[in-house]
Amino acid sequence: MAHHQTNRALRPEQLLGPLNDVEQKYAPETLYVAGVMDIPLPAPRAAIVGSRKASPNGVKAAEEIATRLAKSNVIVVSGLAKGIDTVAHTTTIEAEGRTIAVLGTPLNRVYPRSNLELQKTIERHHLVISQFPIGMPTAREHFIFRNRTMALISNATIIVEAKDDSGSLHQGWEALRLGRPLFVWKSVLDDESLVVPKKMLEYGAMKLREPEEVLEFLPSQDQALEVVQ
Amino acid sequence: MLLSELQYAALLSYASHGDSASVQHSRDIMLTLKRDGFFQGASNRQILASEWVAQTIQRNRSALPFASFLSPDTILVPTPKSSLGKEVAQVLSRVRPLRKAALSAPENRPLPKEYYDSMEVQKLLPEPSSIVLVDDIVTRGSTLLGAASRLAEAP
Repeated sequence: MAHHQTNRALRPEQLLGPLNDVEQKYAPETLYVAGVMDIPLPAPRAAIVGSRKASPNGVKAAEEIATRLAKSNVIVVSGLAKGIDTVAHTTTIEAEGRTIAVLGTPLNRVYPRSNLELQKTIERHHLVISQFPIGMPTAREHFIFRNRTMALISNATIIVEAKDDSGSLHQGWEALRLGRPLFVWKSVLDDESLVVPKKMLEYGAMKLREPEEVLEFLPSQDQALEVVQ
Repeated sequence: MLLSELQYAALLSYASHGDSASVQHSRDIMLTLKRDGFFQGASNRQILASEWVAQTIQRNRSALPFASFLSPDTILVPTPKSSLGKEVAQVLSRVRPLRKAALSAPENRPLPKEYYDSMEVQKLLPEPSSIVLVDDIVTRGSTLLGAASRLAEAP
């Protein structure tokens, strides 16, 4: 397959296929994409998200999950933030998988600065997506909007490590609202100090014990389900 | 009173575990129904999963199994979602959230009693001769048993 560089502005439906009313609610009007992936996006896609300040155990979990997904031809989606996001992208690239970075900044900006090379690599060989037009000043809440958009782009979301106020939890609630599978890594739920992840189980999140459990909740590559009318 | 048996009719049946192509196909359909995605209908037209289900049941309502469930005076009651959100018609509503069954491991699925405890009857029905509960995905039927038990005891 010829992989040519794409750099364009798309409506979310062009990138993801048709959206229902619930999905349209927080869908950005335009998504700016740069990279080499097919449009509309191939499936399945799973987001791996978590703390910026990742613990050694969190890093290990993110590596295990990303490797397992990459080897099963799942596109790993993350937010290019420090910590878990960075591990998710780099591990996927090392495992020769495919990855998508969903940014909280416009495409021509990098945050954090330390991920400049990583963002360039993803743009050159994978795909970078932003809902923010070039020139738009970055605000704090953009990273939360980004997490909602990431939930929309991903067939499932996996929270690997999180604090009760972290952006990945916003993404978790959005995944639930969208009726998409949400997984919370076991150690997040075993952490006595965290309340929100446990609350999410009551609303339909699932405890993730082994990375391969995710595979049972992902759609196949062939997205067109034909029916008789 | 907790019911232990209910008759049911289903449009599709779901093969939940395994790796074969037909199991994956079945899973794709289940995930599409769960998030109300789109199917591809005649001449590549995209149709919302919920609309396809409604139209297909409508077309087959005089055939079995639906014919025995849908008589002119049947009242359809939507099963409450796991969240506490607004329902189409609030006959039954969730008063306490409960973990989702279709997406959880068999040993973690809530029991009929837990569903029963999580719901309340909100409105009195005009004495229907029959009530049919409607849900998108039925796994063990615990949600429906809980909901039916609540309705059965409504004054």
